[in-house]
Amino acid sequence: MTTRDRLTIRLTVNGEAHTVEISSNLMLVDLVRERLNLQGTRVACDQGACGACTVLVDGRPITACLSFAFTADGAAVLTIEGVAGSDNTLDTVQLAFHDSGVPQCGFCTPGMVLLAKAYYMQQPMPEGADVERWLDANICRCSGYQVFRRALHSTPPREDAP
Amino acid sequence: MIHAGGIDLANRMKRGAVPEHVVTLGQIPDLCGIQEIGGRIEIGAATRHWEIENDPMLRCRLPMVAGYIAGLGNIRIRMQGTIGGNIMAGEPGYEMLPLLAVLGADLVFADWSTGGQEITAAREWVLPRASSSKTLLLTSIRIPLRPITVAWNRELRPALGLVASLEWSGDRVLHGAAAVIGDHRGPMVREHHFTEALPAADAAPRAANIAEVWADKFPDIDVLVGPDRDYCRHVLSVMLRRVLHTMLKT
Repeated sequence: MTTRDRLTIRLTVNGEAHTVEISSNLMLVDLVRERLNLQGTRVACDQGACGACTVLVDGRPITACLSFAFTADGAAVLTIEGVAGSDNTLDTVQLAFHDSGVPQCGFCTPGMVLLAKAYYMQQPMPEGADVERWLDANICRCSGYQVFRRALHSTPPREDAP
Repeated sequence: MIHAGGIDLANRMKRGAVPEHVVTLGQIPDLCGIQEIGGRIEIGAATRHWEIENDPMLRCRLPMVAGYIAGLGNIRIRMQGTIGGNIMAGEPGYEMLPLLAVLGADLVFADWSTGGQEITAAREWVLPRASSSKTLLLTSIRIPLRPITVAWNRELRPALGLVASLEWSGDRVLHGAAAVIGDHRGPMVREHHFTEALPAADAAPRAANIAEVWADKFPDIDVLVGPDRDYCRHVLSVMLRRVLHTMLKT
């Protein structure tokens, strides 16, 4: 990466390596949506409040509308398009969301899935107030919070859970 | 302009700010991390809130700091934002500076113009304005390890919040400090010296009286909440009483 108005970064998005030339003020959400055409990542408030733009960067849930794309240089980015397996089998968290009937309008769902996935990666056994503390980061305009909560509680413990 | 977590810089650019240069410091190892050095905790300015909140040593030595930080923003913001950014953004609603003020913490700056170091008490730091901080780079935060308890009230966030500390000698309260969250001019800190070292059991029933006396030390509280000074003072005394109860119980 160089210190110019335009720079080249290398990153992995959903397991696929990319080398892209970007402007230094490009936001990560615009990189994934406009340059890589991964439009499952939403833009809503555009100021980091709602979480519709959540992606995982090296496993951390990140507000992509407030992250400069250059900060993802060398990182592994996961968007909603990369959560399911390559054969389209749903991820554990996606399955729990599906079985709980989560989607209403669906606008916040990609961000919610990624937020929940980040939690699940950190915490092998979803439990109690911890789940609420994580899920309160993202806004659902249909107020489907209880369904999200149930979905995450119903996610089976990871195989490595104690 | 300095960039580490990037949250405030990105938001300001979206509102029209056009920085001439952006220097990104978020991955410099010397600016990250938490360590205990000679009776104090030192936190690198580019350490993310999430790392502070989950640091095993800090959770053991200053559990109230970890608990306070766990209530800032949300998990996405805490994973991205840095403690230095929280302080240097100069946003009145940001909550780190008042906490550091009541902990008696110092802010350590490198001065670009002299190559030297400047150390300022958090309680005396005036939120950065255009010209005052251009040559100062916040490098770390030093929190002294003292027998202290901390409690806070954020129920009226973002209009008004309060964080307070009590310093102890054994089971006796010696000294208190309270800081209002939300002041545009810097942390509004007022101290309360207990006339005699007061056992907690004696102080608890007097919390309401102590809070009343303490609240009078914030004569300009109305600039934060609204023009009705009596109401603002009343709200502040209620917050003080509640945080005093919390601290004296623990």
